[in-house]
Amino acid sequence: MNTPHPLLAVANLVVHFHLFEGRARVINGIDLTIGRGESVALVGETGCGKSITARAILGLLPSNAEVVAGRITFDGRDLLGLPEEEFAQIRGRRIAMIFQDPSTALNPVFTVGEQLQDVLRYRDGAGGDGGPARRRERQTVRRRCLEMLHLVRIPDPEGALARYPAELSGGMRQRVLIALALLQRPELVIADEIGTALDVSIQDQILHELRELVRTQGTSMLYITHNLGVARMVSDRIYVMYAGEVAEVAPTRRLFAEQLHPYAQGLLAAIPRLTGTIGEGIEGRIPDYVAPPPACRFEPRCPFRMSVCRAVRPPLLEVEPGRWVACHLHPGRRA
Amino acid sequence: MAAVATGMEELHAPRREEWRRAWHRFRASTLSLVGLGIILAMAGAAVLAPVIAPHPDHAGAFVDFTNTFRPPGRAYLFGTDDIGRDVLSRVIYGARISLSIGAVVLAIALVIGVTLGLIAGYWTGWWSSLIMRLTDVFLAIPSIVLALAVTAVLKPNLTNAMIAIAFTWWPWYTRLVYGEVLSVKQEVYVEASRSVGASPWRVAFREILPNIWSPVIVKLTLDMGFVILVETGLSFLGLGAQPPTPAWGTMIAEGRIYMPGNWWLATFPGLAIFIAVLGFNLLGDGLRDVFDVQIEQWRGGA
Amino acid sequence: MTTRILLQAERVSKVFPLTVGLLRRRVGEVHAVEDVTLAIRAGETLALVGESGSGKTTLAKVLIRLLAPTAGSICFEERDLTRLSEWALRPVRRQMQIVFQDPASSLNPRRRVKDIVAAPLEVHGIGTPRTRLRRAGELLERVELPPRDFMFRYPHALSGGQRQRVAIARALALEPRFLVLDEPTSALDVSVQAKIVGLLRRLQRDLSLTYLFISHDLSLVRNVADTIAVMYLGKVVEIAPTEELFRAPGHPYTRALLSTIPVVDDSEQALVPEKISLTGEIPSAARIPPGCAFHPRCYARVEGCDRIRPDLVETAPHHQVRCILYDPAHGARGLPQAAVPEERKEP
Repeated sequence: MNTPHPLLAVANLVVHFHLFEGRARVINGIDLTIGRGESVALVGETGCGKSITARAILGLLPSNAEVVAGRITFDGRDLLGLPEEEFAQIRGRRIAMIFQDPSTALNPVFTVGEQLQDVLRYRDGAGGDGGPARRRERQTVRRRCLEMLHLVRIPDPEGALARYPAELSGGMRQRVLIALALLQRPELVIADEIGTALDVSIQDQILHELRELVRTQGTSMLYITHNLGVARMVSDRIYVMYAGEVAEVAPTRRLFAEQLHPYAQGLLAAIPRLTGTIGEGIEGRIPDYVAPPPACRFEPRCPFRMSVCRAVRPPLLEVEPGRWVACHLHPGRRA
Repeated sequence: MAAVATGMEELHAPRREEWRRAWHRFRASTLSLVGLGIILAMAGAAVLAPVIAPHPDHAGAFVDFTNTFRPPGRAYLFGTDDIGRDVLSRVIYGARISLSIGAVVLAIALVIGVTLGLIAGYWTGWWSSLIMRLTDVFLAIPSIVLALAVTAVLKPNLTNAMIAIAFTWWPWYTRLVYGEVLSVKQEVYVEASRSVGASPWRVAFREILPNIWSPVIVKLTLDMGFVILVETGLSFLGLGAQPPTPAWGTMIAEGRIYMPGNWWLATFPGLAIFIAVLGFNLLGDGLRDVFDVQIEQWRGGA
Repeated sequence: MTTRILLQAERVSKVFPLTVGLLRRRVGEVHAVEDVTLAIRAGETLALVGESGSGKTTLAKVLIRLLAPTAGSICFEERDLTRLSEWALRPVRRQMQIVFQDPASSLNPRRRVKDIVAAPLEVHGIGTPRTRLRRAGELLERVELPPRDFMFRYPHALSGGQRQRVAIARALALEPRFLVLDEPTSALDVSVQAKIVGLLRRLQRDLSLTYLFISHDLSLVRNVADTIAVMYLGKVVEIAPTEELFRAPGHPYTRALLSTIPVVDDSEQALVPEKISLTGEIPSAARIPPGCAFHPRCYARVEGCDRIRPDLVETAPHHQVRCILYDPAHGARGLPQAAVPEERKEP
């Protein structure tokens, strides 16, 4: 889009699902870019397709999904056409994912240390036939794991290595998941709703620490969340997604100062305010992906809808530098 | 009551939808369809036995020494046995016996097993442990051995064989239901029901029970095959169906000594057993696959 | 305001034993709720705010007698519920209902909406199947779900917001006076949350309901509650009318919680205390720290906090704080920082 030499570029991604009811046109042409060292939030409510997008990037779509069109380019390479063996090299090493639920994403029968070391050993190909070379390698691996645990602010990293996930609190487990993701120094980390399973104060802590960590290491981040408050805390740029399409893109501060797309406006208005007001929410429901609205997918729920909204799908247009909207209310600068 | 009146058609609409969807999933596996076909054919044969069996009277007390040991041919598709009875007709009537035994045994096992399992799972207390320990005792004894013991005490006939097998079968259902109840018990909707003031009986039977049917149904289907096998074994040993009842096991026992020369006496009943058990296994596996996809697959939500 | 008190909890505690082994050897105790005294007035909304281990859900369940208290008493409309048997409680249960947090699991997946909503009526033997069906339709209308579309559906065919409306309809079936809402919107998207909150408000007004609203979301609570009680490890550490709590939070934990509220509007920065990061993890309720339970994580800790267990002290009308810093016997200095929040740093 407008990021020169982006690390990740998703262009016009279209994903359909084959369901019993028919063909569900879930992702309907998404454009997304993430620059090096940039933190981007993909914000949307349940069912908008943000998790599907993440999985498409990682090549982890379920079997009944079909990528109908689009390109996903990572560091210049097209990911969609990549054979599985090559993808396995990228997944986990150059692109890592931090999962949402810390209590289920860790294997309960292995210690933290074993799970961390496994990742490194797999990467470097644990070979060798014993002896001093092997021992040195183990020590290097162990040291690396300890460093990482220290980096994610786990108190007593030595002790933590020997513990089982069940012995750690939710917050600690989430930190271990972050450590697991960052262990191989990936260039891009995808965080899927992290912290939602945790207490507010812990989530707050972890998100701040993660943001700092990522900044110092120069890693790019893609935060997937339904919580605008979280997005505001952690991202430089926000993509607002609705029903499988990008509704608005803006630098974080600009988006909170002013929303252009009616959906983004509705979302922000629905957030309870400290002044004691809470909006009315947004009328209606997300569309049925098997029979979606033909043009603008938000039209049935839009308080500002016009007749053109039912006829022509609004393209994603740049209205000011770095700010894009897909809405007929905003014709844009460059068509 | 316009709302109520229109409601009735809509009552059926979602239900039909559910069935259609389940059928679609089931249809996806050819083997499951084969299993279903076999069972339907078997059930059809059992029900229509008097009509489709060429010589229905051969299934009972019948003797024709002029027709003994005819090999399979046009007149007698499966040949005749040592006293001149048509093997085909007897095999068809045998289906009736096998299916009814399976149904009766499992009905008994189901009622006892599920009730005990529900009670043990939902009400904690010393009787729950008692029930489960009792279940363990019964599970520790191999079913054939227990069935033997029971029939040794009672007279060996088909009814007693059924009782004996049912006696050994209920613990499996208790254990299965017990485990399922333990996990469903934790669900919030059970707590919600309690919070409204529902009695434990209502909660157990109206909230929990409907949610544990799936594994029970799968098990029932698979068990039909196994019950038939056990009954076959008992009949083979002479402890089940007595001659001249055309139970497959009895037929094998009688025809065994004529192998390999007059092979058709024992082989066709044996084949019937094999196909029946296979059919139930395939059907049960198919059902399990359908039920396993409980969670709505991606449905407009990510 | 002199509205009468609907529910009065007096020094309520709930302790769960920790047992090990076949013979159920007692190895410890979980003090889920400790010495809680609360009064809820008719028609108002009291919010219980806290994180995991705070005991807010346990307290709610004890208040409506889904659990029996280990100590203390509970009076509903001046009737003592504490020692009543299940059978005696049955008529009272009609007055107090609960809406659970996760709508996906609080509805029986094998029952249709109409059966779920009418179930309470069936349990209490009210009406005939025909009248129950009609009542189910009425209830669905009340929660703004057109009966014709929704009566015969199964839960899996409903969205999160719709399921929660069904759960609310079920809770209203017996015409209760008191409704416990256990994080009713935590599992929902923010736009759906706004609609459900609107619905709950309208219902409260139209049906004269009293709410006990449990939540961890302070900005949400700001919008729905008249009074807020902040809980930590089983105790109420602060209780005050909503505006008062936000204007002048007393307890260090309350301040820290308020400071974590993500502010979406620049104009709201001034309404939130300066960012306070709490150290450490929330301890397990089976091993509550001695003295003040919050002291290991408290940034305003003083000498004596690890020995003395403070009581609730009234710092302003209707405003109570459980902290040694407000205890007159220890000087009543209050928190070192000013109650008026300073400007918040940008993240």
